[in-house]
Amino acid sequence: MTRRNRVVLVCVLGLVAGTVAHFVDRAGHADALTFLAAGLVLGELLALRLEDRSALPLSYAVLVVLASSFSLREYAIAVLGAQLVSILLRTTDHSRTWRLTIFVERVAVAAATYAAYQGAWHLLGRREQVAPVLGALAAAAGAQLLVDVSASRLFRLGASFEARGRLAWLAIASSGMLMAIGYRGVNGDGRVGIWGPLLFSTPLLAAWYAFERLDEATRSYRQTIEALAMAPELGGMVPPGHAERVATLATAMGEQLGLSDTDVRDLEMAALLHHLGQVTLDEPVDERGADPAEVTAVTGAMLREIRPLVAAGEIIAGDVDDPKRRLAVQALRLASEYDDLTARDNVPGDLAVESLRSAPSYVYDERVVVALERVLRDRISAGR
Amino acid sequence: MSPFPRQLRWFTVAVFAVAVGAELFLARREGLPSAGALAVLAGLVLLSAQMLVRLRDGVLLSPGLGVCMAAIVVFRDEQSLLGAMLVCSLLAVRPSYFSKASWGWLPFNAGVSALSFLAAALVYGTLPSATTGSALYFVLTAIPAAFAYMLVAWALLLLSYVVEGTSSWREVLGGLLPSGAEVLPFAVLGFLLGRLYLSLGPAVMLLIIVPILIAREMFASYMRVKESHDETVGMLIRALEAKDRYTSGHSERVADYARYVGEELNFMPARLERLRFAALMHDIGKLVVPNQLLNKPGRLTPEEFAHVRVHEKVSVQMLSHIDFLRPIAAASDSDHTRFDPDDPDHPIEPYIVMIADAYDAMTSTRAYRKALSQDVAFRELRDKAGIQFHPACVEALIHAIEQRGEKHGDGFERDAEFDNAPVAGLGSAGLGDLLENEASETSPSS
Repeated sequence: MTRRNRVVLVCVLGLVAGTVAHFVDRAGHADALTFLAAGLVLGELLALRLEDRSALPLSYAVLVVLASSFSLREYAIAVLGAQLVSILLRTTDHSRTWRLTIFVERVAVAAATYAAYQGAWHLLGRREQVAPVLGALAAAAGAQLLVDVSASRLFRLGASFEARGRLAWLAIASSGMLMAIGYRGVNGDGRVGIWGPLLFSTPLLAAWYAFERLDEATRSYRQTIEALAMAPELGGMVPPGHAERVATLATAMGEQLGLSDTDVRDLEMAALLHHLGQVTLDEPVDERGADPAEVTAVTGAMLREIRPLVAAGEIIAGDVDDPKRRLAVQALRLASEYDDLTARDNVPGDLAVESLRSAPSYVYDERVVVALERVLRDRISAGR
Repeated sequence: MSPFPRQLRWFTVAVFAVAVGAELFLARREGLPSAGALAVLAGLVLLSAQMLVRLRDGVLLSPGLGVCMAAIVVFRDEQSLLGAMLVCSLLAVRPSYFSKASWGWLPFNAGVSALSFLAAALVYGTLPSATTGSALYFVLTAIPAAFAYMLVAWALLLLSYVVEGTSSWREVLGGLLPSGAEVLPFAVLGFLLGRLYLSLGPAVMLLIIVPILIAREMFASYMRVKESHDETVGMLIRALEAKDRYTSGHSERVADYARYVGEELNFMPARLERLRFAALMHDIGKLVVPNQLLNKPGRLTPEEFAHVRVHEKVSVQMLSHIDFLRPIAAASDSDHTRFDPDDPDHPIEPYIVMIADAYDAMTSTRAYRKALSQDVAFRELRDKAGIQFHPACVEALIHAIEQRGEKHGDGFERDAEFDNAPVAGLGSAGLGDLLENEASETSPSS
C-alpha cells in the first residue's frame, strides 16, 4: 500500500472511530482521545526527513498535546494503541528487528514526554498561567529531543542533530506546543478543543511538505550526478565502479584531514565526476588512452560552468589556493591513483601505497598519504 | 516581480484613495487603536508578508492572511475597524515592490488589502461575539468573514485585469477560484490565533511563525537544489551537443514537444516535470559513443550502427539509476517504446518521448538529409499511429502544435547549419546515413 493510501485509510478510520466514540461517550472526551490517537498514527506516517536519511515523526507534536491534557492511563492507551497500529502500517521492506527498535524508541520518547511535562508542571506550581504552561510544554518537547537523540545513538538509528535536524526539531516542538495550547487553553482561556491541534498543525504540515520536496530533490540530484559518473565507465574508458570507489575513499580521507563539511562534499562531487570530461574527447587512435591532463582540464572546465559544481571543478583542475583545499586536490588524485593500481592493475593495497610513495613522480603531501593509510587501516579493522 | 503596468495607474490611485479615505473617516469616528496591539500585529504582518512559501507552480502560502484575520478578531474586541485596516494594508509591503519598475504594486496591493479586510471585519462585526463561547461557533464565524474578504479582493483584482486589458475576466476568474480553497483554512486558523491572542497574549503567536519560517527555509533550499539539478542537466545537454553537433538543440526541442503532449493529456505539474527530464536526458547514453562515429560524414557500417545503437541501452541504464526517472527510463530504448496496444500497463511517457523524438528528427535538417516538411511529418506520424506510435499521443502532439500555430521542418528551421544536406526519404530521420531500402525497416529516431 502506498503512503498516500495509508494516510487516507488512517484519516477515514480515525474519523469513523472518533465519531463512534463521540456518541458512545457523550459526556467524556473519548472522541478527542480517539482523534488524537489517529493523529499519532498519521504523525508516524509523516516525518521530516533529515540529511542522513533519518527522520523525525510529526507524532511527537501530538504527544505533547496528549501529555498535557490526558491522564496517564488514557495517554498510555492512546500511545500504545497508535504504536501498534503503526507497526502494522509500516512498510514491509523494514525488518522485524527494525520495527521493534522503532517501537521501543517511540515508547521511550512518549514516556519521557509525559514524565517531563508532569514533572515540570509540578515544579512550576501547577499554575494555570501562560508562562508555566509554556514552560511545561517546552520541557516535554525538550525531553523528546533528549530521548530521541540518545535512543538513536544507542540503537544506531542515525538521527542527527545537524542543521536540518535542528530546524526539524524546532518546527515539531513549536507546533506541538501551539497545538497543545489550542487544545487545553490556559485556565479555560483560548481553549478550542480538538480544533486546536487540527488547525494549528497546518504550519507543521507546510514544513513537512517542504522537507519532503527538499529530500526528493536532493536525492534526485545526487542520483543524477551518480548517473553521470557512470558514463565513462559504461563507455569502457575507466574500470567499472572507479568513480564510486574513489569518492568513498577520497571523502574518508577528507574527513581524516579535517576538511570542512562543505569541502568534503565538494571533494565527493569532484571524485564522482573526475573522469566525466573524457566522454567529450575524441577517442585516441592508439592504445595509449586519453591524456589524463586533457581529461582533467576538460572536466574541470565543464564543471566550472555549473554554479554548484564550481568548487568540484576547481578541485579536479587543481586550481585552488587555499591550503586546506589543496589537500582536497591531493586526496582526489591519490585516491584515484590508488584505485587505478588496486582495481585496474590488481596491485595489493599495501604495495600500492608503497609504490605511490616510492614512485619518482611522488608529489603528495605526507599528511594526505597518512590519511590514506589510516582510512585503509580503519577499513581492515572494521572488516574484522 | 513583474513591472507595474501603466494602465493601472489611475485605478491604483482610486483604490488607494478610497482606502485612505475610509481610514481617515474611521480615525475620526473611532479614534486610534491601542498602540500595543497595533505594533505587535503590524510586526507580525510585516514579518509574515516576507515569508511566502511556494507550494507548487503558482500556489503561494503565506501566514500573512492568517495574521490579518487574527487582527480582525483582536481589533473587534477594541471595536476598532481602523486597527484591522492599518495592519492588513501592511501585507502589501514586500522588498520586491521597492524596485523602480514595481513600486506601483505597493499602493495597489495596500489599497486592495485594506478594503478587502475591511469588508471581512464589517461582516464579522455584525455577527454575535464568540471569543469565549463554543469553539465550533467561533470557527464558523470565520467563514462569512472569509467570503466577504474574497468577494471584495476578487472584485478589485478582476476589475484591475479588465482595466489593464491583458486578460479576459474568465481567465482571471479561472485563476482566482482555486485560491479560495487556501483562503478558508487560513481564515479559520487566523480567527483561532486571534482568540489565542486575546486570551493568552502575543507570545503564543510566535509559535506559529516558527514552523512557517522553517518551511520557508526548506523551500529555499529545495529551490536551490532544483536549480543545481537543472544546471547540471543543462551541462549534460551541452556536452552531448558538443559531441554530436548534428543534433544541436534536439534535446530541448524534444522536451518542448513532450511537454506539449503532456499538457494536452492533462498531466499534473510534477508528472510534467518528470517527463521534461526524461525527454531532456533521453539521449544521455550518447555520451559513451565515440565522437568519430557520431560525426562520421559518410555511411555507417552495420557494426558501427550497432555500436551507436548501444547508446539506447546505456541511456536506460543511466536513467534507471535516478528513482523518479526509473519508470520511464525505457523512453530511451526504441525496442521498448514501439506502441503495443496489448500492453495497457505500459507507461505512456516513453511513447510521448518517442513521438517527440521522431517528430524532431523528421523536422530537423541533419548532415545527411534535409528536414521534411511539417505536413509530411504529421502524415508520417498519423500513418504509423496505432502501429508504431501511440495514437492518442500523436493526435495530442499535432493538436498542440497546430493550436500554437507553430511551424517546424523544411523552410521553418531556425538554426539549420547544413545547407548542403541532400533531400531524402522518411526513414532517413534515423542515426547516420541510411539507405532507402533500410528506411522502411528503421523507425525514425534520433
